[in-house]
Amino acid sequence: MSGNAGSTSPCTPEGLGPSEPLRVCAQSDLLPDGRFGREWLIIGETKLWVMADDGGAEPGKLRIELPLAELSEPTAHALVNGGALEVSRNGQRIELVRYTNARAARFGTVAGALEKWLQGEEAEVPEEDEKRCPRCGLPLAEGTKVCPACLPRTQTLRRLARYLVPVWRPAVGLSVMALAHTALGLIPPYLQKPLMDGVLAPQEGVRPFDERLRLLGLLVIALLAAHLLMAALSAARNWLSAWLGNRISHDIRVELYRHLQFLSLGFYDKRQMGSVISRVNQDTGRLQEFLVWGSQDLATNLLLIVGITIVLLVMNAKLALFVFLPAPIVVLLSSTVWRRIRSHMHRFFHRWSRLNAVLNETLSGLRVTKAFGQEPRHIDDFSARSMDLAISGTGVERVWSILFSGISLVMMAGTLLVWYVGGREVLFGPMTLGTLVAFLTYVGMFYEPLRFMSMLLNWASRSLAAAERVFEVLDTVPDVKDVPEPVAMPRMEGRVEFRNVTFGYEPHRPVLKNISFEAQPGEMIGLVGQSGAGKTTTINLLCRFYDATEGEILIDGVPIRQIRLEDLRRQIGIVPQDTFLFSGTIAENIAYAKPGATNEEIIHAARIANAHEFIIKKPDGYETLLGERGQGLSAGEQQRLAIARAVLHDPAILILDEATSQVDVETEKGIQEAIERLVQSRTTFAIAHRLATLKNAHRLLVLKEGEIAEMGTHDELLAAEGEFHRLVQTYQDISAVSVVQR
Amino acid sequence: MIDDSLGPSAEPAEAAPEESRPAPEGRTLDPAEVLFRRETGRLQMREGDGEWRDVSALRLFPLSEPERWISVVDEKQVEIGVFSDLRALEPEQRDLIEEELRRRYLAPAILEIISIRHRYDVTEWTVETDRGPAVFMMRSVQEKVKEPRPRHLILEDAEGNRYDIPDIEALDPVSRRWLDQEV
Repeated sequence: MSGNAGSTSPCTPEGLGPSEPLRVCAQSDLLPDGRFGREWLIIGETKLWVMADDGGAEPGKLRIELPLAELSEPTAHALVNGGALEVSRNGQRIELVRYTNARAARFGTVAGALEKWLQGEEAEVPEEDEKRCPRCGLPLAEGTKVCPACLPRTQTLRRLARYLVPVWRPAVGLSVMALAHTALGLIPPYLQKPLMDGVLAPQEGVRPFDERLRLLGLLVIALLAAHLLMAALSAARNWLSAWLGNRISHDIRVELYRHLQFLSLGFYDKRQMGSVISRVNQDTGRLQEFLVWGSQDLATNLLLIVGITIVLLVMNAKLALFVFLPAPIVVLLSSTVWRRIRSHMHRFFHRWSRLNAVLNETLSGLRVTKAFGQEPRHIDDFSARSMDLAISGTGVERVWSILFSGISLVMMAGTLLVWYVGGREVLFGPMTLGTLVAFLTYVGMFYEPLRFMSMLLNWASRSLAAAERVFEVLDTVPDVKDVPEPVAMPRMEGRVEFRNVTFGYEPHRPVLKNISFEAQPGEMIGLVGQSGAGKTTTINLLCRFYDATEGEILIDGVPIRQIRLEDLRRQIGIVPQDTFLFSGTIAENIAYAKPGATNEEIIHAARIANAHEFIIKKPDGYETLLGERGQGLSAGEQQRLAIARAVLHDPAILILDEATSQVDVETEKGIQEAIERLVQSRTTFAIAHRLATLKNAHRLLVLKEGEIAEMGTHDELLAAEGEFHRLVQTYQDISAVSVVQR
Repeated sequence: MIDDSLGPSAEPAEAAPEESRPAPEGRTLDPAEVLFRRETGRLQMREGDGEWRDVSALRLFPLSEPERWISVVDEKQVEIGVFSDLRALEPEQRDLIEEELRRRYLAPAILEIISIRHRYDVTEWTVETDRGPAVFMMRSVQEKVKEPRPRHLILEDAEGNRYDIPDIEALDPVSRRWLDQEV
């Protein structure tokens, strides 16, 4: 949190009494009074200590020393913006350390381990998953080990350059064209010199009139040729750039998207979808811009600066110095301007996106707005935000115009100096008018690339940051992937076994604890329990969306990790709680898992799912187009399509996740029928809150707080009067209440 | 049901005893009836015959009304009752609750912004807070600054910690300028 994290661990402490093997050393970042500061919690074989961390090499003051034998109930209390680790000793509650959110996960793990140690069990505290770069202390983005600041820039650049390899021919061609274009740009001003001195205002008439006329024609033709060539080059260059840029960004985009498709769900749990989407959209766009224009602009501007400097020095070294005089000011000013503008632009874009968000939200929620008659409020709100946007837009322009006018003025000052000093030289000295005119034209061309170079650094570093964000995703290895030699299982019987399975989305917070059970082929198992008991997590593990932290899951006796993922997914079908329909026709959606299905198969599946009857009422039958997320269908209709999808998928193991939760009782009957047909001869796992839905289940698995509370048939469990009995009672109470209210 | 709530005459003559079932509107704690004590490291509460051995206090409107609407909950986070205003408590009783609140709410308030530096895609904030000096990093500043109420900002740093700026107008001009550049 505060300061640099680099103080030495006291895990080899002196003055801690008898030196005993230490189990863990954890650094906190708050003091007992809630102020920022660091302490160490040290746990050994028989004792624990808390001592101050002064950041120095000396061990800090010992604040707490407790014998482990007298302690119990270690808990990591979640507080707002942090937490506190507490233990009990003789009924007394003792707060050991306090910490902010930065350390909460660490102390959560420590508390879990301490609990095991106090009970005499073994526990491992893994090495701290460092969330800061060990070299510079910058915090790392979630789920990455790459520090954007410490990653060698050249490495990123080299990797970026690899995208140019397959298109190296046009890329080289483009660079040559860019350089040629720039070099050509240097010619016309040079021609002005003979035009002035030799043709228009010759000094002490050396040449006869005819010759001057001929020279005029020649020079104009030369100028025309140069400009023609430049125009052609510029057109070709722009066209080639566009082609190359779109080609490269297509490659990166597709590579990124392919990788996103194969990444495990665990990756998405840790991130906001919006930021993932912006990586695909914005970051690849930025890369395109950088790859295509960055190298070209850098090369051409460098060439311009060097070329013009040489030309100026050759033409008139003394005068050239007056040109270089304002150069540092231009560079300095440009980079400050850029920073100022950027913060204004940021604000402008932020307000812009906020306005968009408001627009999106309020229009999506228009039904609610109308129902509560709140239109004026949203109009006011929108109007205020729109005004904010207008103000900050004006602000951007104002800063832009003022500062850039300033730069132009400085540049103009340089030009004026040249006019004055050069003018005097023309009047008194050896300089010709032609030299002065050519000189002035070069001066005009000189400051522009300087301005560009001062912004380049900023631009490049932002583009490299974008590149690193993209590469970071590409470098993320899916948690769930095939083992080197997976077992092919084209056909499964459907025997499922959970063997001592423990799992947590965050390793220190197990959601499932030591689950073991077995399901026979064709058996229907109902999963019952309060929300948060671990039902959906059980399903997630069975589908191998995540891998179990401990223990094993076996299908037909083969560990699930060994089974080829493709085969596994092929044999598992889900009818999810929220049906997700893609935009497309009804038939396409039914055949989602089996793209080559015949119409006959599709109709058959729809009949089994009781969907046929409503589909035929649609004007376009099976070819009715569905909007995004199945717009235009009721919840019950969507669910029946999901069932039809599962029928066609024909899995050995079927999962019903609250498949009837969204529909009314009448519709449920139809769906129930469909499900009964579907579950025949498949191993089925069904989650349901309405316990009546599970009356067909062979056995029920009752989960409570991540553990199996009971397992058995409906009647057995009722007779046992345990957790299931209690759930049924509650359920009946609620039903009774709702009947009375009706 | 509907008839009951409409007719004023239909008001039940005798209110059902409160203990039998928690009234839906919750219970307001009377400062005169409640006694807090800190013992064995826990905050304990007594009210009439009732005694709770491990309670804690939390704010219902932590941003706008830190001193009012204080809920007292038991160790299972089930609400016992609500104080509508902390200021009605006896001083030492109030100290106990405020200590508990200070314990729970760890988010520091920024008093002064000393500098903001850009390092690649993170910004490094050096600030003075009511909990001492702090340096923290923010990623994508624009997304991580929330304005729950006008002039009140909440910043979230790269490690998920929150920093409050209760009133931007109350900041000194230098801090304001730093802030204006970013937000």
